[in-house]
Amino acid sequence: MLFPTVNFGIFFILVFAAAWLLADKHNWRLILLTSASYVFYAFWDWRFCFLLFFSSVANWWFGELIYKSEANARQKLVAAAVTVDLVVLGFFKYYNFFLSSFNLTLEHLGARHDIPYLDLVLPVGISFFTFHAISYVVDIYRKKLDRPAPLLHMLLYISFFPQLVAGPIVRASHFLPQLEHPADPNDIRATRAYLLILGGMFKKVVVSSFLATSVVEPVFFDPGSFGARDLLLAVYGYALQIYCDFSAYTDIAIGVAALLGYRFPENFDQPYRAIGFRDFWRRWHISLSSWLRDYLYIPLGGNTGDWRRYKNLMITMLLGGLWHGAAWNFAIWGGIHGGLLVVEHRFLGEHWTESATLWVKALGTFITFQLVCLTWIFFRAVDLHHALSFIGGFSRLSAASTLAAPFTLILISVLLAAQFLPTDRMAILERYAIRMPPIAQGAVAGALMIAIFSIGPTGIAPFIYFQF
Amino acid sequence: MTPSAVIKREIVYRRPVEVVDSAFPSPLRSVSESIGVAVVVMFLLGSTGLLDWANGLPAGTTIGDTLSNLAQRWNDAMSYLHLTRFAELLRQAWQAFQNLG
Repeated sequence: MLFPTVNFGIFFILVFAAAWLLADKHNWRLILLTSASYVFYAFWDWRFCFLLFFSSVANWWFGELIYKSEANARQKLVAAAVTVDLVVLGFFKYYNFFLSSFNLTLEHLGARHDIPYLDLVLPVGISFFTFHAISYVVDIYRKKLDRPAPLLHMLLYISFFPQLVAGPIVRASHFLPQLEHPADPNDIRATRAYLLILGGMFKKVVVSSFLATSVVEPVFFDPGSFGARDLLLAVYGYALQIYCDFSAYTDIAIGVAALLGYRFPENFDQPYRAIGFRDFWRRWHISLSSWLRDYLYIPLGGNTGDWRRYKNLMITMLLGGLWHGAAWNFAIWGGIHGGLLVVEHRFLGEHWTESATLWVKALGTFITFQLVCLTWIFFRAVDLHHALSFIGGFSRLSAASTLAAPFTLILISVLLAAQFLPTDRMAILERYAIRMPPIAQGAVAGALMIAIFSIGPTGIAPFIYFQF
Repeated sequence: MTPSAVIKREIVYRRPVEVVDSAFPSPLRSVSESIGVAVVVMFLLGSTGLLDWANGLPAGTTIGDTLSNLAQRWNDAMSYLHLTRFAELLRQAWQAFQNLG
């Protein structure tokens, strides 16, 4: 059930009405939201509701044990819990990938290989709800949560439908405390939610769809047929497509959660205005980068010593790349980001932007964006050979452009310029919107929603991050 | 430094920035009013999209056929009132804008 569909609209209206009717019956409200979340997930594949339930109960049980145990046992229990979570994720997501790599290696060595592949369906959102589960057991271990959550709260936390299939990755220590008290029916951040939902719908239905069909897919499908200018346009187009697609999902998720009375963290902060890669990862998929920092990079040793820091950065980014997909081009994507982070730490230091002049910052922003776009080629390509073939096409400098229509160029320029809008633009818009009475807000929101769907293409493609 | 000491030193657990933190609160009654009006407006202006959705439901089922018939009649009524022009005009304007140059 995709967000920008009539099915989801009907589903949400019903859940919204029922949830607020149960506002003063807190536990029944949580039961309703949990049931609705399982219904939402069942629309993708009902069989994986069992996996979702198993993950929730298993991690809840581990949390109980960790909380009641002494120090040595706690460490072993959290290790066991994380291992179970990673085994489940690894089995569904990486079994065939590693088997394929293993078989290829054996083939090169001239050895026989009879290990069968499995016809596995990747459960939607498994990367996200696995990270939620790990966040829970580790936060219990680190005493970031005062006490284990009741099972009902845990079931809702893992399955909550706005965040279930594509994030943001909401920490247990951030979300579970919100479930301890009834949601306040006098404190619904509705106007901001409408702006987020409408903005997200526009980015997904109109912008991302246009860029995908007009520029990105034709070029990435057959890069050999295009010259350097079209290849560059496609790369910029993809950078904006994936940003609009992914940030649209999280904006809508945040808005939907806000209408139900819950608060999600920011996930994107104008990433293409980043100066350097350290800054980029503070702005892109913030919930993932902060999760990797707190649950992987720091346990590996964090910033202790230069060479250890570089090693930890590389490991974190390589695994972060593989988290996105079971393919070597994702590992390469992560590896390039890790390498560039190491270079930045080594040669520029942690605070180089603080003393930089405006020209240096501008140059830094430009170079960062170009390098990020280079890494997107590996991310989008089918495989490594495809990526290298794409990059090789930049030598076709004399080939005329066939895709640089004025509308496309204007759209890309406007989207890039929007990265430099004031950071409080949402708050500014909201100050105007809140002056309208609720009926007017509703009428404008309804009309804008129809306008968005009128100018978008028929049929909605799945969000890119669903595949992760 | 032991690994656990590193973790204790490094983890600040910065409270994540909540997107709606600084937003204006609204009471449930006014939120319900605005969502209700939005739904009505979408029904009035989006009858063609509603018809497409209804026609995409499984054919040959009672509920699918009923909804499809109702959506057709609703779309015919909205066409009669020229309320479908809103979406059509926007689509044409957007197409013209895309074809500039």
